Amino acid sequence: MTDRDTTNASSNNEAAGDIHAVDGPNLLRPGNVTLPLAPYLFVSVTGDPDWKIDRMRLHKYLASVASSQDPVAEKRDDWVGFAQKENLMAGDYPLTYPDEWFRGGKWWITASWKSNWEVHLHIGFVNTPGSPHSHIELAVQSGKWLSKLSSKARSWWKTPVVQGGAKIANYETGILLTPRQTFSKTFKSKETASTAVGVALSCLFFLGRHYHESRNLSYAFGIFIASSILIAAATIFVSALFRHFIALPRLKWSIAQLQD
Amino acid sequence: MANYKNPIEFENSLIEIADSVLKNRGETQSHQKIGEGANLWELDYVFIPKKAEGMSSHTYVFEFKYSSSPTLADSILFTQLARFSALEKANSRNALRFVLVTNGKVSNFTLPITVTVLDEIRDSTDWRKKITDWLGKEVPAWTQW
Repeated sequence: MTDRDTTNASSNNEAAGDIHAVDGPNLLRPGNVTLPLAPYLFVSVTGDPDWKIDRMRLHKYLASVASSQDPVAEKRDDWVGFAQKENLMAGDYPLTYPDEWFRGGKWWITASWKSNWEVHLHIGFVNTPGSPHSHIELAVQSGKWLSKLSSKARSWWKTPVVQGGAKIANYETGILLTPRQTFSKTFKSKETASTAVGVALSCLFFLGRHYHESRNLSYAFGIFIASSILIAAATIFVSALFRHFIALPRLKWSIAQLQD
Repeated sequence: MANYKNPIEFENSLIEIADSVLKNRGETQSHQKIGEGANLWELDYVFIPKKAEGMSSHTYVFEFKYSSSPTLADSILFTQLARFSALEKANSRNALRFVLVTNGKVSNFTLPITVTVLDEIRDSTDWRKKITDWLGKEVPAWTQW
Protein backbone atom coordinates (compact mmCIF):
# COMPACT_ATOMS: atom_id res chain seq x y z
CA MET A 1 0.00 0.00 0.00
CA THR A 2 1.06 3.56 -0.61
CA ASP A 3 0.34 4.29 3.03
CA ARG A 4 3.79 3.08 3.89
CA ASP A 5 5.31 6.49 3.07
CA THR A 6 2.64 8.31 4.96
CA THR A 7 3.34 6.09 7.90
CA ASN A 8 7.01 6.92 7.92
CA ALA A 9 6.43 10.59 7.44
CA SER A 10 3.91 10.83 10.19
CA SER A 11 5.88 8.83 12.69
CA ASN A 12 8.19 11.83 12.82
CA ASN A 13 5.30 14.06 13.69
CA GLU A 14 4.37 11.61 16.31
CA ALA A 15 7.73 11.97 17.98
CA ALA A 16 7.16 15.69 18.11
CA GLY A 17 3.91 15.04 19.90
CA ASP A 18 1.79 16.10 16.92
CA ILE A 19 -0.14 12.91 16.61
CA HIS A 20 -3.29 13.59 14.74
CA ALA A 21 -2.27 16.36 12.40
CA VAL A 22 -0.97 14.44 9.40
CA ASP A 23 -1.74 10.80 9.87
CA GLY A 24 -4.84 9.06 8.73
CA PRO A 25 -6.83 6.93 11.09
CA ASN A 26 -4.38 4.25 10.12
CA LEU A 27 -1.44 5.19 12.24
CA LEU A 28 -1.09 3.99 15.77
CA ARG A 29 1.31 5.09 18.44
CA PRO A 30 3.79 2.62 19.86
CA GLY A 31 3.33 1.76 23.49
CA ASN A 32 5.68 1.24 26.37
CA VAL A 33 5.89 -2.42 27.04
CA THR A 34 7.74 -4.40 29.66
CA LEU A 35 9.24 -7.50 28.14
CA PRO A 36 11.39 -10.11 29.87
CA LEU A 37 14.87 -8.66 30.09
CA ALA A 38 16.52 -11.73 31.45
CA PRO A 39 17.52 -14.28 28.82
CA TYR A 40 15.57 -17.50 28.63
CA LEU A 41 15.28 -20.57 26.49
CA PHE A 42 12.08 -22.17 25.43
CA VAL A 43 12.13 -25.87 24.65
CA SER A 44 9.08 -27.85 23.64
CA VAL A 45 9.29 -31.61 23.99
CA THR A 46 6.70 -33.64 22.14
CA GLY A 47 6.07 -37.20 21.10
CA ASP A 48 3.18 -38.63 19.14
CA PRO A 49 -0.35 -38.11 20.45
CA ASP A 50 -0.65 -41.73 21.63
CA TRP A 51 2.53 -41.48 23.69
CA LYS A 52 2.73 -40.49 27.29
CA ILE A 53 5.54 -38.71 29.07
CA ASP A 54 6.63 -40.22 32.37
CA ARG A 55 6.30 -37.22 34.65
CA MET A 56 8.48 -38.63 37.42
CA ARG A 57 11.40 -39.22 35.11
CA LEU A 58 11.06 -35.78 33.63
CA HIS A 59 10.78 -34.31 37.10
CA LYS A 60 14.05 -35.98 38.10
CA TYR A 61 15.76 -34.80 34.97
CA LEU A 62 14.67 -31.19 35.45
CA ALA A 63 15.81 -31.32 39.03
CA SER A 64 19.20 -32.60 37.95
CA VAL A 65 19.62 -29.80 35.41
CA ALA A 66 18.67 -27.20 38.00
CA SER A 67 21.18 -28.45 40.50
CA SER A 68 23.52 -31.31 41.15
CA GLN A 69 22.69 -31.32 44.86
CA ASP A 70 19.25 -32.30 46.07
CA PRO A 71 17.12 -29.64 44.53
CA VAL A 72 13.70 -28.98 45.93
CA ALA A 73 10.77 -28.32 43.68
CA GLU A 74 9.54 -24.80 44.33
CA LYS A 75 5.97 -23.95 45.19
CA ARG A 76 3.89 -22.93 42.19
CA ASP A 77 2.64 -19.84 44.02
CA ASP A 78 6.16 -18.56 44.43
CA TRP A 79 6.78 -18.43 40.70
CA VAL A 80 5.23 -15.03 39.99
CA GLY A 81 7.25 -13.34 42.72
CA PHE A 82 10.37 -14.99 41.36
CA ALA A 83 9.53 -13.88 37.81
CA GLN A 84 9.08 -10.30 38.99
CA LYS A 85 12.36 -10.34 40.84
CA GLU A 86 14.27 -11.90 37.96
CA ASN A 87 13.01 -9.65 35.17
CA LEU A 88 10.87 -12.32 33.57
CA MET A 89 7.66 -10.36 33.23
CA ALA A 90 5.81 -9.65 30.00
CA GLY A 91 3.63 -6.74 31.05
CA ASP A 92 1.50 -8.06 33.88
CA TYR A 93 2.16 -11.68 32.98
CA PRO A 94 5.04 -13.85 34.07
CA LEU A 95 6.78 -15.56 31.18
CA THR A 96 4.79 -18.71 31.80
CA TYR A 97 2.53 -20.27 34.45
CA PRO A 98 4.42 -23.48 35.11
CA ASP A 99 3.05 -26.67 36.60
CA GLU A 100 6.33 -27.17 38.36
CA TRP A 101 9.59 -25.33 38.63
CA PHE A 102 13.05 -25.64 40.07
CA ARG A 103 15.62 -23.18 41.25
CA GLY A 104 19.22 -24.26 41.53
CA GLY A 105 22.40 -22.32 42.15
CA LYS A 106 22.74 -21.44 38.51
CA TRP A 107 19.60 -22.32 36.57
CA TRP A 108 15.89 -22.03 36.98
CA ILE A 109 13.66 -24.39 35.03
CA THR A 110 9.93 -24.51 34.56
CA ALA A 111 7.71 -27.17 33.03
CA SER A 112 4.15 -26.70 31.76
CA TRP A 113 2.13 -29.67 30.67
CA LYS A 114 0.20 -29.03 27.50
CA SER A 115 -0.92 -32.62 27.18
CA ASN A 116 0.30 -36.06 28.12
CA TRP A 117 2.66 -35.95 25.19
CA GLU A 118 3.73 -32.34 25.11
CA VAL A 119 5.63 -30.44 27.74
CA HIS A 120 7.05 -26.93 27.53
CA LEU A 121 10.22 -26.00 29.33
CA HIS A 122 11.53 -22.52 30.03
CA ILE A 123 15.07 -22.22 31.26
CA GLY A 124 17.28 -19.37 32.39
CA PHE A 125 19.99 -18.20 34.75
CA VAL A 126 19.30 -17.37 38.36
CA ASN A 127 20.39 -13.87 39.41
CA THR A 128 21.22 -12.63 35.94
CA PRO A 129 23.06 -9.35 36.08
CA GLY A 130 21.96 -6.74 33.57
CA SER A 131 24.81 -7.62 31.26
CA PRO A 132 23.76 -8.12 27.63
CA HIS A 133 26.32 -10.92 27.36
CA SER A 134 24.22 -13.11 29.52
CA HIS A 135 22.10 -13.86 26.43
CA ILE A 136 25.12 -15.23 24.67
CA GLU A 137 26.18 -16.94 27.88
CA LEU A 138 22.87 -18.68 28.02
CA ALA A 139 23.16 -19.93 24.47
CA VAL A 140 26.72 -21.08 25.04
CA GLN A 141 26.29 -22.67 28.44
CA SER A 142 23.01 -24.39 27.75
CA GLY A 143 24.64 -25.91 24.68
CA LYS A 144 26.46 -28.31 26.98
CA TRP A 145 23.35 -30.14 28.06
CA LEU A 146 20.84 -28.96 25.47
CA SER A 147 22.58 -30.93 22.76
CA LYS A 148 21.96 -34.09 24.76
CA LEU A 149 18.38 -33.21 25.53
CA SER A 150 16.77 -35.00 22.62
CA SER A 151 18.55 -38.29 23.36
CA LYS A 152 17.71 -37.92 27.06
CA ALA A 153 14.14 -37.13 26.15
CA ARG A 154 13.76 -40.65 24.77
CA SER A 155 13.76 -42.06 28.28
CA TRP A 156 10.92 -39.86 29.44
CA TRP A 157 8.17 -41.81 27.76
CA LYS A 158 5.90 -44.26 29.48
CA THR A 159 4.98 -46.08 26.29
CA PRO A 160 6.90 -49.35 26.72
CA VAL A 161 8.79 -49.13 23.47
CA VAL A 162 9.26 -45.79 21.88
CA GLN A 163 9.74 -46.18 18.18
CA GLY A 164 11.84 -43.44 16.71
CA GLY A 165 13.10 -40.54 18.73
CA ALA A 166 11.30 -38.11 20.89
CA LYS A 167 11.21 -34.77 19.23
CA ILE A 168 12.38 -31.44 20.36
CA ALA A 169 9.74 -29.66 18.40
CA ASN A 170 10.91 -26.23 19.09
CA TYR A 171 13.93 -24.48 20.42
CA GLU A 172 13.75 -20.80 20.95
CA THR A 173 15.85 -18.40 22.89
CA GLY A 174 14.65 -15.03 23.97
CA ILE A 175 17.24 -13.74 21.57
CA LEU A 176 17.86 -14.06 17.89
CA LEU A 177 21.22 -15.46 16.86
CA THR A 178 22.22 -14.94 13.27
CA PRO A 179 25.40 -16.38 11.83
CA ARG A 180 27.92 -13.84 10.73
CA GLN A 181 27.88 -12.71 7.14
CA THR A 182 29.50 -14.85 4.46
CA PHE A 183 33.11 -14.33 3.62
CA SER A 184 32.28 -13.11 0.12
CA LYS A 185 30.17 -10.36 1.63
CA THR A 186 33.04 -9.18 3.82
CA PHE A 187 35.31 -9.48 0.81
CA LYS A 188 33.13 -7.17 -1.27
CA SER A 189 32.47 -4.65 1.45
CA LYS A 190 33.51 -1.00 1.11
CA GLU A 191 35.94 -1.01 4.03
CA THR A 192 37.96 -3.82 2.50
CA ALA A 193 38.07 -2.08 -0.86
CA SER A 194 39.19 1.22 0.63
CA THR A 195 41.99 -0.43 2.63
CA ALA A 196 43.20 -2.01 -0.57
CA VAL A 197 43.02 1.28 -2.44
CA GLY A 198 45.07 2.85 0.35
CA VAL A 199 47.76 0.22 0.03
CA ALA A 200 47.74 0.33 -3.76
CA LEU A 201 48.19 4.10 -3.66
CA SER A 202 51.17 4.03 -1.30
CA CYS A 203 52.72 1.34 -3.42
CA LEU A 204 52.17 3.55 -6.46
CA PHE A 205 54.00 6.40 -4.76
CA PHE A 206 56.84 4.14 -3.78
CA LEU A 207 57.31 2.88 -7.30
CA GLY A 208 56.80 6.39 -8.64
CA ARG A 209 59.77 7.66 -6.69
CA HIS A 210 62.04 4.93 -8.01
CA TYR A 211 60.70 5.29 -11.50
CA HIS A 212 63.44 7.64 -12.78
CA GLU A 213 66.19 5.31 -11.74
CA SER A 214 65.14 2.74 -14.24
CA ARG A 215 66.33 3.09 -17.78
CA ASN A 216 63.84 0.74 -19.26
CA LEU A 217 60.69 2.76 -18.93
CA SER A 218 58.22 0.25 -20.26
CA TYR A 219 59.77 -2.51 -18.13
CA ALA A 220 59.56 -0.39 -15.02
CA PHE A 221 56.05 0.63 -15.85
CA GLY A 222 55.03 -3.00 -16.32
CA ILE A 223 56.45 -3.94 -12.93
CA PHE A 224 54.82 -0.93 -11.45
CA ILE A 225 51.33 -1.81 -12.75
CA ALA A 226 51.65 -5.52 -12.09
CA SER A 227 52.88 -5.14 -8.56
CA SER A 228 50.26 -2.53 -7.79
CA ILE A 229 47.56 -4.90 -8.92
CA LEU A 230 49.08 -7.84 -7.12
CA ILE A 231 49.54 -5.97 -3.90
CA ALA A 232 46.08 -4.51 -4.11
CA ALA A 233 44.58 -7.95 -4.71
CA ALA A 234 46.56 -9.52 -1.92
CA THR A 235 45.63 -6.71 0.41
CA ILE A 236 41.95 -7.00 -0.39
CA PHE A 237 42.10 -10.67 0.40
CA VAL A 238 44.18 -10.44 3.54
CA SER A 239 42.27 -7.53 4.97
CA ALA A 240 38.98 -9.27 4.23
CA LEU A 241 40.30 -12.39 5.92
CA PHE A 242 41.34 -10.38 8.92
CA ARG A 243 38.09 -8.52 9.15
CA HIS A 244 36.06 -11.64 8.67
CA PHE A 245 37.77 -13.91 11.14
CA ILE A 246 39.16 -11.55 13.70
CA ALA A 247 37.59 -8.13 13.64
CA LEU A 248 33.94 -9.07 13.06
CA PRO A 249 32.04 -10.78 15.85
CA ARG A 250 31.36 -14.44 15.28
CA LEU A 251 27.67 -14.15 16.01
CA LYS A 252 25.38 -11.21 15.86
CA TRP A 253 22.66 -11.25 18.40
CA SER A 254 19.62 -9.25 19.29
CA ILE A 255 16.59 -9.70 21.45
CA ALA A 256 14.14 -11.47 19.22
CA GLN A 257 11.04 -10.55 21.14
CA LEU A 258 11.85 -6.87 21.04
CA GLN A 259 12.40 -6.95 17.31
CA ASP A 260 9.24 -8.76 16.63
CA MET B 1 0.46 -27.32 12.04
CA ALA B 2 1.67 -29.68 9.38
CA ASN B 3 0.79 -27.56 6.42
CA TYR B 4 2.78 -24.45 7.06
CA LYS B 5 6.48 -25.14 7.06
CA ASN B 6 7.84 -21.88 8.36
CA PRO B 7 6.81 -18.49 9.74
CA ILE B 8 7.35 -16.70 6.46
CA GLU B 9 5.16 -19.01 4.45
CA PHE B 10 2.57 -18.85 7.21
CA GLU B 11 2.51 -15.08 7.32
CA ASN B 12 2.46 -14.56 3.58
CA SER B 13 -0.42 -16.93 3.16
CA LEU B 14 -2.39 -15.30 5.97
CA ILE B 15 -1.87 -11.80 4.59
CA GLU B 16 -2.90 -12.78 1.08
CA ILE B 17 -6.16 -14.31 2.26
CA ALA B 18 -6.87 -11.62 4.83
CA ASP B 19 -6.56 -9.09 2.02
CA SER B 20 -8.94 -10.99 -0.20
CA VAL B 21 -11.53 -11.22 2.56
CA LEU B 22 -11.13 -7.82 4.21
CA LYS B 23 -9.89 -5.42 1.57
CA ASN B 24 -13.28 -4.32 0.25
CA ARG B 25 -14.68 -4.14 3.76
CA GLY B 26 -12.38 -1.42 4.97
CA GLU B 27 -8.79 -0.27 5.17
CA THR B 28 -6.12 -2.91 5.53
CA GLN B 29 -2.40 -2.72 5.92
CA SER B 30 0.24 -5.33 6.42
CA HIS B 31 3.57 -4.78 8.19
CA GLN B 32 2.66 -1.41 9.53
CA LYS B 33 5.69 0.20 11.12
CA ILE B 34 5.12 2.60 13.96
CA GLY B 35 7.45 4.39 16.32
CA GLU B 36 11.11 4.80 15.62
CA GLY B 37 14.58 4.08 16.88
CA ALA B 38 14.69 1.64 19.74
CA ASN B 39 10.92 1.70 20.03
CA LEU B 40 10.10 0.58 16.51
CA TRP B 41 7.08 -1.65 16.26
CA GLU B 42 5.84 -3.68 13.38
CA LEU B 43 2.20 -4.66 13.37
CA ASP B 44 1.58 -7.70 11.22
CA TYR B 45 -1.80 -6.61 9.96
CA VAL B 46 -4.18 -3.77 10.69
CA PHE B 47 -7.83 -3.67 9.65
CA ILE B 48 -10.16 -0.71 10.03
CA PRO B 49 -13.67 -1.60 8.89
CA LYS B 50 -15.76 0.87 6.92
CA LYS B 51 -18.19 2.46 9.27
CA ALA B 52 -21.51 0.69 9.24
CA GLU B 53 -24.54 2.44 10.62
CA GLY B 54 -25.08 2.07 14.32
CA MET B 55 -21.80 0.23 14.71
CA SER B 56 -19.01 1.31 16.99
CA SER B 57 -15.77 1.44 15.10
CA HIS B 58 -12.70 -0.46 16.14
CA THR B 59 -9.22 -0.80 14.80
CA TYR B 60 -8.19 -4.44 14.62
CA VAL B 61 -4.57 -5.32 15.10
CA PHE B 62 -3.61 -8.81 13.95
CA GLU B 63 -0.53 -10.66 15.05
CA PHE B 64 0.49 -13.81 13.21
CA LYS B 65 2.46 -16.28 15.30
CA TYR B 66 3.85 -19.42 13.77
CA SER B 67 4.37 -22.22 16.23
CA SER B 68 6.59 -25.17 15.50
CA SER B 69 5.31 -27.02 18.54
CA PRO B 70 1.68 -28.21 18.73
CA THR B 71 0.86 -25.67 21.43
CA LEU B 72 1.93 -22.04 21.27
CA ALA B 73 4.47 -21.26 24.01
CA ASP B 74 3.11 -19.30 26.96
CA SER B 75 6.01 -16.90 26.68
CA ILE B 76 4.98 -16.02 23.13
CA LEU B 77 1.33 -15.60 24.08
CA PHE B 78 2.10 -13.42 27.10
CA THR B 79 4.63 -11.34 25.23
CA GLN B 80 1.99 -10.61 22.60
CA LEU B 81 -0.63 -9.80 25.21
CA ALA B 82 1.78 -7.44 26.95
CA ARG B 83 2.60 -5.73 23.66
CA PHE B 84 -1.05 -5.34 22.84
CA SER B 85 -2.01 -3.98 26.21
CA ALA B 86 0.75 -1.35 25.89
CA LEU B 87 -0.48 -0.51 22.39
CA GLU B 88 -4.03 -0.26 23.65
CA LYS B 89 -3.03 2.17 26.37
CA ALA B 90 -1.10 4.33 23.93
CA ASN B 91 -4.03 4.48 21.50
CA SER B 92 -7.07 4.68 23.71
CA ARG B 93 -8.98 6.74 21.10
CA ASN B 94 -8.78 4.03 18.49
CA ALA B 95 -10.67 1.42 20.51
CA LEU B 96 -8.20 -1.30 19.58
CA ARG B 97 -9.04 -4.95 19.25
CA PHE B 98 -6.37 -7.60 19.08
CA VAL B 99 -6.54 -10.77 17.02
CA LEU B 100 -3.84 -13.35 17.65
CA VAL B 101 -3.61 -15.85 14.82
CA THR B 102 -1.54 -19.00 15.14
CA ASN B 103 -1.20 -22.43 13.61
CA GLY B 104 -0.63 -23.87 17.07
CA LYS B 105 -3.10 -24.34 19.86
CA VAL B 106 -3.46 -21.60 22.44
CA SER B 107 -3.62 -22.76 26.06
CA ASN B 108 -6.71 -22.05 28.02
CA PHE B 109 -5.97 -18.83 29.85
CA THR B 110 -8.48 -16.13 30.65
CA LEU B 111 -7.92 -13.47 28.03
CA PRO B 112 -8.87 -9.79 28.11
CA ILE B 113 -12.16 -9.07 26.34
CA THR B 114 -10.39 -6.99 23.69
CA VAL B 115 -8.42 -10.05 22.61
CA THR B 116 -9.56 -12.72 20.18
CA VAL B 117 -7.59 -15.84 19.43
CA LEU B 118 -7.89 -17.66 16.12
CA ASP B 119 -5.76 -20.74 16.64
CA GLU B 120 -5.05 -24.05 14.96
CA ILE B 121 -5.01 -22.47 11.52
CA ARG B 122 -3.86 -25.46 9.50
CA ASP B 123 -4.02 -24.24 5.93
CA SER B 124 -5.33 -21.45 3.75
CA THR B 125 -8.83 -22.94 3.42
CA ASP B 126 -9.02 -23.10 7.18
CA TRP B 127 -7.88 -19.51 7.52
CA ARG B 128 -10.32 -18.21 4.91
CA LYS B 129 -13.17 -19.87 6.75
CA LYS B 130 -12.09 -18.68 10.19
CA ILE B 131 -11.49 -15.10 9.19
CA THR B 132 -14.79 -14.95 7.31
CA ASP B 133 -16.61 -16.32 10.36
CA TRP B 134 -14.74 -13.86 12.55
CA LEU B 135 -15.76 -10.97 10.31
CA GLY B 136 -19.39 -12.07 10.37
CA LYS B 137 -19.37 -12.22 14.14
CA GLU B 138 -17.40 -9.04 14.64
CA VAL B 139 -19.21 -6.89 12.11
CA PRO B 140 -22.63 -8.53 11.80
CA ALA B 141 -23.98 -5.89 9.39
CA TRP B 142 -21.84 -7.43 6.66
CA THR B 143 -23.25 -10.86 6.76
CA GLN B 144 -26.12 -9.48 4.71
CA TRP B 145 -23.83 -8.42 1.85
